[in-house]
Amino acid sequence: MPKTKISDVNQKLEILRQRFRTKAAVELAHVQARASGIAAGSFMAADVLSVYQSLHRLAGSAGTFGFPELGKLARQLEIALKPLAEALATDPDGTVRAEPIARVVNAEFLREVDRLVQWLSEEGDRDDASAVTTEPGRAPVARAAEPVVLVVAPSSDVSRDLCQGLSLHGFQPRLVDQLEALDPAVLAREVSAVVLYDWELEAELPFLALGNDRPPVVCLGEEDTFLERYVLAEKGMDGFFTLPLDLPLLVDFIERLISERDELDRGRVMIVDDDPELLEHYSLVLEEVGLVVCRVNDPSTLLTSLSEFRPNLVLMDMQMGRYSGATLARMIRFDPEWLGLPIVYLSSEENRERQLEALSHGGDDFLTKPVSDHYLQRAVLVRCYRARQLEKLATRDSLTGLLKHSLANAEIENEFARSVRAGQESVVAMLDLDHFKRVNDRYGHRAGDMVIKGLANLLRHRLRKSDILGRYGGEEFIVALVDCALDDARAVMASVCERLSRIVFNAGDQEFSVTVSIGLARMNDYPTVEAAIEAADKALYERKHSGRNGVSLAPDSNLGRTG
Amino acid sequence: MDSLSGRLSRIMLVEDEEDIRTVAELALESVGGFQLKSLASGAEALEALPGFQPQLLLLDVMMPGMDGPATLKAIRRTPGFERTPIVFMTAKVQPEEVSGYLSLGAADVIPKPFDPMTLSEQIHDIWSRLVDR
Repeated sequence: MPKTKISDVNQKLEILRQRFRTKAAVELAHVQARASGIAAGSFMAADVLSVYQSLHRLAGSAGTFGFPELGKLARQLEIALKPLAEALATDPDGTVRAEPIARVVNAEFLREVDRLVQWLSEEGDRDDASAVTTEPGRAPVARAAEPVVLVVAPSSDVSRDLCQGLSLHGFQPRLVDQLEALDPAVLAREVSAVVLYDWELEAELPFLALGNDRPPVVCLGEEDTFLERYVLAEKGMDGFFTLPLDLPLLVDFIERLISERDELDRGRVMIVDDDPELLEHYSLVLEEVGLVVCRVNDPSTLLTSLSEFRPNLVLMDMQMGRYSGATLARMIRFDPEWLGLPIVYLSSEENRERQLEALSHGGDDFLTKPVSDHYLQRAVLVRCYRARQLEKLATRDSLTGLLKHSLANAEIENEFARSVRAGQESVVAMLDLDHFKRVNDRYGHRAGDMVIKGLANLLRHRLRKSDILGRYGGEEFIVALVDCALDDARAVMASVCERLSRIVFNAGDQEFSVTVSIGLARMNDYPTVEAAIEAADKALYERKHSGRNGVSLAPDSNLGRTG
Repeated sequence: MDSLSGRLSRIMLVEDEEDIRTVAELALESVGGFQLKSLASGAEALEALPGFQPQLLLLDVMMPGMDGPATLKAIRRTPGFERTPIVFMTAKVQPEEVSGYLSLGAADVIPKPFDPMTLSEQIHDIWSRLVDR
């Protein structure tokens, strides 16, 4: 009997588990669409059978892939549907009678299906730890909450491919073919973007009324005419793609829309005001739109708070007891680090001359009190967004939005110091796309760029917000997995390899796919961050020499070591 | 050669779902140390029987085209494989269904979902029960 490497098996099982998860999500989306069709009155025998078969497949396989709970839930629904499916199967041409079907596929049945979908998207992660029972004490794999993309389309090959593709790119597709049942508020909260295939349904989109708070909507269409595009733009849609779909292009577009929306409300604002009630009021108003607020009530603590909180924007009262806002602004500018920080005065000063005088001291803008809550929100959001865009230009790689080389290193350095103090384990990964030169040579640089973005987006979705992602240049990336055991880092990175290899990229009418090699080193095993990066780099080259497309560990990084 | 003696090494798996085949390969080759040949359909299995000479077959019950029971009957008609133990793998584990499969001539039924880490042990158990007989 060959000597078994349980860790290898576990790693492979984890990959299969992730793959099953992707497929199960697509399968469930179809069950959901078909079952709601059946419940709504379309009694096709084939639909009932296909729902039954999907449930049977899930019941029989989910447990094998580490989702026993999902299997049990599917089994219950399968059993409920069984007598009906068997009757239909033995007499496929017989008259399908609506009444017994409606009795089984009822509102309760649909709720159970929804529960399955919900379970897979939420509870699936929590189940990780208990599902893999072979390695005691194994922690759940670090993973980000994947953004949900709502696909509004009839169940078809196009929608199936689209959902599959979105999953591969690290999104969580949710397929629906009718909109009435959806709660606008839930949608706005849970859904990151909407793809509308059947855009005749646009009028029914329940959340258009939400205005700016709704997720972006991308439409798909068969025909590409000026008029069609104009009409969609007029309706406030955010994008338009024609079939056949260039999926990586669509994914990148969605990615851009989502990140713009995220950035709009993830800004950091410092409010300086000596009136505690006003301070609290402004803070709540801004927090309501998702901004992160630091309240400074005592101006003398301003500088310390500034370097701790590192805001994107400062909102300052003009007159605070013995302190003047204008003087404080000038004081902030003493430090070269804050020369570019936007400072906005909140003031009842209406005299333009005095406003200008205050601005010459170092402020950037005025908001005149009294200011409506809504106006304050919009004004601060927009300014924050611009400030962050400017900051991004300096620190982020323009193609991928990941940190630039030097900054990634600096961030990793900081994070490492912090995590060592906290007694945590962290892992550094070096990634390099395989045979990337050939991609550029054969398919052109535009295709090459899509690949780079594809990997960047996949990393962004698969990893946590706290992890550090950098583009080292060319086709090379660096990742620091913070507070993450080596086993888990390896499983996550293996799933990145696996997913990337299954993404189909397009160049004109040619299709191709790519792979990535990854080297890992446990930072705690090295005296410095540079040494850890060097070790990860060596592991990466070891992987390049032993077949690429996969993950190698630095030899000094021992699995299973703790502390 | 009596295939029902000695150590079990050659197992043939017939299963239409690719990912389940992959898990079973891990479970039986990497974990169990068996020599496994996995095939996607009954027809392919019948073709591969003489060349591989499996000592035991694992058959999925629900497969498009030739399903598990049909494959079992065809194997039984293949010279040299009239007595080769055949184990069904199925998500249908109602007692009457299990006894139905056994009366078809199956050696045992392994319920799905199976646990990849213990599948080999289950098969070892079945094998030793058969050999003891």
